[in-house]
Amino acid sequence: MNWTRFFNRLKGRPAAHEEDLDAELAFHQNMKERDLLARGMTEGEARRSARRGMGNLTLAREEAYEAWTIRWLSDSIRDLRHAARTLTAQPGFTLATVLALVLGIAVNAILFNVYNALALAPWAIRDAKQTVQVFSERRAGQWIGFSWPHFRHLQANTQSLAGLAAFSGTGTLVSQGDASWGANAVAASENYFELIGTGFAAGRGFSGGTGNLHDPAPEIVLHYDTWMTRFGGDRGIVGAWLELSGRRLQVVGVAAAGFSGPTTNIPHMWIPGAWRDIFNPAQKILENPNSCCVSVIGRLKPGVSRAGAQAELNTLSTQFVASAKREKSRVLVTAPTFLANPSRFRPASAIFLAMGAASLLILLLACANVANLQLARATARRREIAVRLSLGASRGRILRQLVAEGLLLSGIAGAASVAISAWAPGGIVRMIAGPGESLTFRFANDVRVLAFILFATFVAAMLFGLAPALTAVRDGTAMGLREGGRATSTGRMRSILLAAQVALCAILLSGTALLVRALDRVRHLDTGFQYEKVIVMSPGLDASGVSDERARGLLVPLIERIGGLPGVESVARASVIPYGEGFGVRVADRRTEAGVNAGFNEVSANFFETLRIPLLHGRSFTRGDEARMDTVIINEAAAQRLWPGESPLGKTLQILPTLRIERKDLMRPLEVIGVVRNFGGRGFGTEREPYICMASPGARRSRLLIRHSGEAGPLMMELPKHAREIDRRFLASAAPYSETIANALRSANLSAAIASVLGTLSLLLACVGIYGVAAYNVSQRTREVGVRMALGARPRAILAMVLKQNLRTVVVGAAVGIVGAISFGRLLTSLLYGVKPTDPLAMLVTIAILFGTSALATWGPARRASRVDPAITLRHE
Amino acid sequence: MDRQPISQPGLLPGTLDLLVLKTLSRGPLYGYGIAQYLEQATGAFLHVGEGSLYPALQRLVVNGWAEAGWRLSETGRRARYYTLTAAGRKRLKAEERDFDRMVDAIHLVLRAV
Repeated sequence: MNWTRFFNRLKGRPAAHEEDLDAELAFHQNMKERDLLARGMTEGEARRSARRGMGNLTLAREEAYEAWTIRWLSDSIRDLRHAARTLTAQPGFTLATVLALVLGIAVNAILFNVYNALALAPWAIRDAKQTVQVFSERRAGQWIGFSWPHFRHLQANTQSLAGLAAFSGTGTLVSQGDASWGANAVAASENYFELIGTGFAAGRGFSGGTGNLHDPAPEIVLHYDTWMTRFGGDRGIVGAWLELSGRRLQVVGVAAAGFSGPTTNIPHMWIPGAWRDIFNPAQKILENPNSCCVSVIGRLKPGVSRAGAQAELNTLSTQFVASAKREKSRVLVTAPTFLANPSRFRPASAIFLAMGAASLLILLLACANVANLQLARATARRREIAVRLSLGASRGRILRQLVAEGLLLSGIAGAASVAISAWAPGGIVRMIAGPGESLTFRFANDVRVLAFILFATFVAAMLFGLAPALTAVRDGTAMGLREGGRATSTGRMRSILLAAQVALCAILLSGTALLVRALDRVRHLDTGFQYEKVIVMSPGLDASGVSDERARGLLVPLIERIGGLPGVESVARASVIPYGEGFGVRVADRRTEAGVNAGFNEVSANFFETLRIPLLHGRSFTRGDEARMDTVIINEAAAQRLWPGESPLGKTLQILPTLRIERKDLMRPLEVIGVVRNFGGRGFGTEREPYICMASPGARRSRLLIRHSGEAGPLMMELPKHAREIDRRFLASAAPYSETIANALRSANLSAAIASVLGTLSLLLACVGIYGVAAYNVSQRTREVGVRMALGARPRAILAMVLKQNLRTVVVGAAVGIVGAISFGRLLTSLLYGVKPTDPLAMLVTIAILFGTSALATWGPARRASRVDPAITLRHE
Repeated sequence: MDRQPISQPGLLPGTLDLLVLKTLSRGPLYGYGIAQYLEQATGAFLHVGEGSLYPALQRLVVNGWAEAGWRLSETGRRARYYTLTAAGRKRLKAEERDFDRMVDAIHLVLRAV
């Protein structure tokens, strides 16, 4: 590098320089005039002649100026303008390219947007950067909250945190006059709003003071949305008294608009934490150091790191568990995002990895496709480029021009992706989330998302823009100027790109095929019971605040009344609905210390009869079993796991204590009295897992299963009315069992639907690519085909020749793709419900579709080749 | 698209810089003087237009081969004089050598047949 030269350039064009140049040129003209006068010209002649001799003064000035400036900027603008002209001149090409790129970039933008909202963007709370979430480790790798006394100990003693708040969700029944509705309430510590609140739209927060655990302040802070939808935004609501599960509480404030706290679902209201024990009398969690658990969020003091806070909280936690005689558990301090909890992150990361790999493949596919289109154009533009090179344009300049075109194309696609990313993720997530769930996540195009899109756009431009540009310039002048100059290296590059495209497409297609197979398998799985003609009824006592005993007293007349309705065959009771909710326990086992995982349900005596689950051995439950709560009926899988080769009848099983289960009544020996056929208890894929049903008299959480003979509709309509006539506290709802099954199918349906969309996109992209290459090859070989035909080749042979040429590339691509597909399939294992990633049917279908479409895409150009008129093509030379 | 300096027909590309360097090696001179000298020295065979002369001069300055400054000319008028730098002398030598080689090569071809 010549430094003088470099600095001279950097200095740019000095202001004085232009005047220098003008003066210099004026002097030049003057001297010339003088000489001409001396040679005998008249003054006028001399001036005219001198000026003529000067040529184009402006041009001279421009040329001199160009030597001075860093021309980069002005050139770039010129490049972009040139690119815009070139692209508008070929709208078809431009549209195809932009569409392919929008697909590639938008899919990635949407995925990143969702990831950003879940893992990177903090909760919408005050000064989120300084807040931290605190978790304790329950089992290895399972991070949950703290018991209330544990939280109080940390809160009272921490030095590294400016504050620590706790909260947990609880259902409650709100009565307004004669009507009532179920509300999601968050029971929070008194400092909750001080620590993370963003202010109040009306009124104030909790009055504070730890107060008496058993006599909390009767205060409600409403969510802004609740205030708007339920109370019409009326300021008079502050000070009003509401009845919550039979208790009177006063509305003291309304949280600021947009504040939902660090929870995934939007709550209706906040109440002081101690109300939780009053509304859920069965669990006294506030005093129990072993209870599970409240979520904890804190604010770091200035200058304290998360690691520092974590070290301190670990020490405090160790003190506490020692005094409470509890097992030691680690403490984790994380960023305030949803996925910061490792137990949530792990399953989510598998999905994000699979989706991320798929969408990256789509982007690569789009780039390969566009690169191919660009190469085809580059070939068409060889002459243009060659002419410009021979006229003295520098290679770098032409390269820059081609790259500018690439940037412009991907820039348009990037802008479109920004728009798509702004609305699509919210819509998709609303589709995934069940009805009635309102999530707090905001899928906004924040700085991170925009930076990601910009990055993806730039990478795409480089990927598809540079390769064709380099090829075009390398071939240079001589090749391009020759009449009919044929591509050699470009041809090879195009073949490689095509093979890569086919390989990527094979990967995505096989993923789609696997997920569709999984869906098909799930649909045909035998649930093990008959859910047709069964209605699921939720009495809705969960949030009513009544005790389990009282609930039993209410359920008996309800079941009797429904059982007496016309068309009702039987009414059974269960604590969980198979395929609806999953509840599991660990059962002691002679051979493994950890025990055996099994689904668990507390049912009425007629449960198996109502669902038509056949009893294989032993006897069925009786009314007496319900009251005693010490007999169980297990499925075949459980019998095989616990007592292989023996009869389980008369044996006893022991449920192991886990911290999540606070029920001592389950921890006694339970006698096995019967074995039923396997049935799916905990959702799809669990059909062969152990399942245990205990006879019980029911509780607040009981659900009813109603087998009927007539129409479901009218019966479902009148069920809630009957419940309300028995007691006002019933908040009943009813739906056909098939709805529960459909809901359980939703995730399988959804992943298959998403995969189908991605797979179809990739197939479309690959098709365009294959067609493009075939069409190009045919146009390149027109002369050769002409010669062959002139020599007597039949159209059929020509057709076969062209088809074969492309198919060879497709075969190579497909072979590579299938190998990749098998490794990609492993990423999907959790979504496959037992279908193997190497599933032969899925692979065969992939290959068939791939070859079918390639043949179709090649067919048109091949036909064109076979109809070539030899006379015309030979004359063309 | 790039605009290259328009050179005299028959003048090999790049030779204008060489001629200007050579002219300046005789001593500092202003633009018009250089054009005059080249015309006289070649027996009016070469006519160097301003459109190519001044860009060539700017190139020399930008590349650090020549320096420019205003001073009084022999006629008593202010003119912009160009002076060859040490780098310019080195460049001149290199270009002369290259040119000789090129001419020899062209001769070889022209005499060969």
